[in-house]
Amino acid sequence: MGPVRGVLRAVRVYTKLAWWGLASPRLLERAPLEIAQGVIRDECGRVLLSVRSDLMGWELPGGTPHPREPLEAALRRELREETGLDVDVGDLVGAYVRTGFRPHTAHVYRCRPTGGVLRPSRETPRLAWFEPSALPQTLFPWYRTPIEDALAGRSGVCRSEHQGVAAVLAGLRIDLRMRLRR
Amino acid sequence: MRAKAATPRLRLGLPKGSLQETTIRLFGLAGWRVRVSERSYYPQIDDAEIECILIRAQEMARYVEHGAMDCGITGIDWVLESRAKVKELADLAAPWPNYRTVRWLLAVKEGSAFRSVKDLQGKRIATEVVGLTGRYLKRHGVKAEVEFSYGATEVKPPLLADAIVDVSETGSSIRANNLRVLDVVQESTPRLIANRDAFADEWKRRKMERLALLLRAAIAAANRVGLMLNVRRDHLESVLSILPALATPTISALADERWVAVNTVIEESQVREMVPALREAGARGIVEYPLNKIVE
Repeated sequence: MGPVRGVLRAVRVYTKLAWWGLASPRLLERAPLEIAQGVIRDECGRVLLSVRSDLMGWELPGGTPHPREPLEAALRRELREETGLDVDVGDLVGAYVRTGFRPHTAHVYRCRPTGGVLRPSRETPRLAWFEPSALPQTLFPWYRTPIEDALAGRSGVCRSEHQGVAAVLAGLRIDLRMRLRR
Repeated sequence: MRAKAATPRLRLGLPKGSLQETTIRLFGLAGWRVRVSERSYYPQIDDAEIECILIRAQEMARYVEHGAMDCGITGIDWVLESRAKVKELADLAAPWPNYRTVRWLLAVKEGSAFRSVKDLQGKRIATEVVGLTGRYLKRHGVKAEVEFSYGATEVKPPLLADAIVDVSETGSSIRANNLRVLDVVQESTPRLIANRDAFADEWKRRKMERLALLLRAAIAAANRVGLMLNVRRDHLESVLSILPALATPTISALADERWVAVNTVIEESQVREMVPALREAGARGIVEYPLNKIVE
């Protein structure tokens, strides 16, 4: 990718993200957004992380349920699509209520891979297993708490945090870092 | 051959002919030493629970279906040709001679007036796969005379046949004989197939599944190598972005907290480009090592 095309793509992505994060939740959406994400660990205790294709950076794989789809079923489907793995969805680590930019509630479940073959997708162009002590600096900071909770064996925690300017800037810094390293 | 043995045994059919050499090599990589002595049709295998028989790939599916063998290796083309009712255990397509995907091609002499299969109405087609060809023609609503060919099929048009259906791995025999391809009749790869009753037998099924697992693992490791390297945390992103997307590496901590270790598997052909690029991106202590098996 040439630098000019890279910048153009980044500008397009940021415009879309600004709309998606700031305007659309306030203007278009009636119900608060709920998403499901999984902490998948392999037999050595490593955590599976994926890179988003729009806002680039490492995150927990997962996604948004279809209308009337139960969270756990949505998670199994999304994980299958994004990672190629079949998983057993275990207990709920916690619900993370985020206000501010793109307000949503993330339901994070402990997951155990049962089959399938790990392979990236269009939405998640990269996947990697990280030892908990070697999480990347380019992991979006709001994922640290859910991962810590999962690794500490907590269940059913409920936390809320405000995604203010600092969080948005941290996200952008990570995205830029990922893009410039290419 | 059917003598009762003290320990249960799995009767395994190995394909005699073009698949033979690669099959024996594959078994070697999967962990079984198979030795074929000249003129013997019963190869030696270093596993007391397996008994081997060499059979032509063309006949394998039929013998497995009837239970003369519990399982065997042959192309899916011959399974379909003989319409044998067998259980498929593994697709063994591999990047080795005769184990790659082969195609049964419908071909005519270059310069002939035939443009598609529809033009072959009432014509004569020579082939080794009469059943496959007949069903292919029926699907296209074409009635033609399909004639069995014992071999050297590619030299038959235009004198002995109007068209042929012949197998090709690389397409070189088609070009060498000045033929033009009209269509692909069937694609095929080698498969491990099993007799249905044998598959219903607990002991045999477990034995065959273990065999399939290790054969697949050896194929998965073919032409791939392991790569291990260390990188400073702030250079991790640039190193990971060089690795191919499908690599899905593992990142581990090192005693020195500023560094992490990256472990991954890549295609051997990518090593030449990738290793220098990884070093430039900050990777140190890069070790490339051979792989024997990959179990997904």
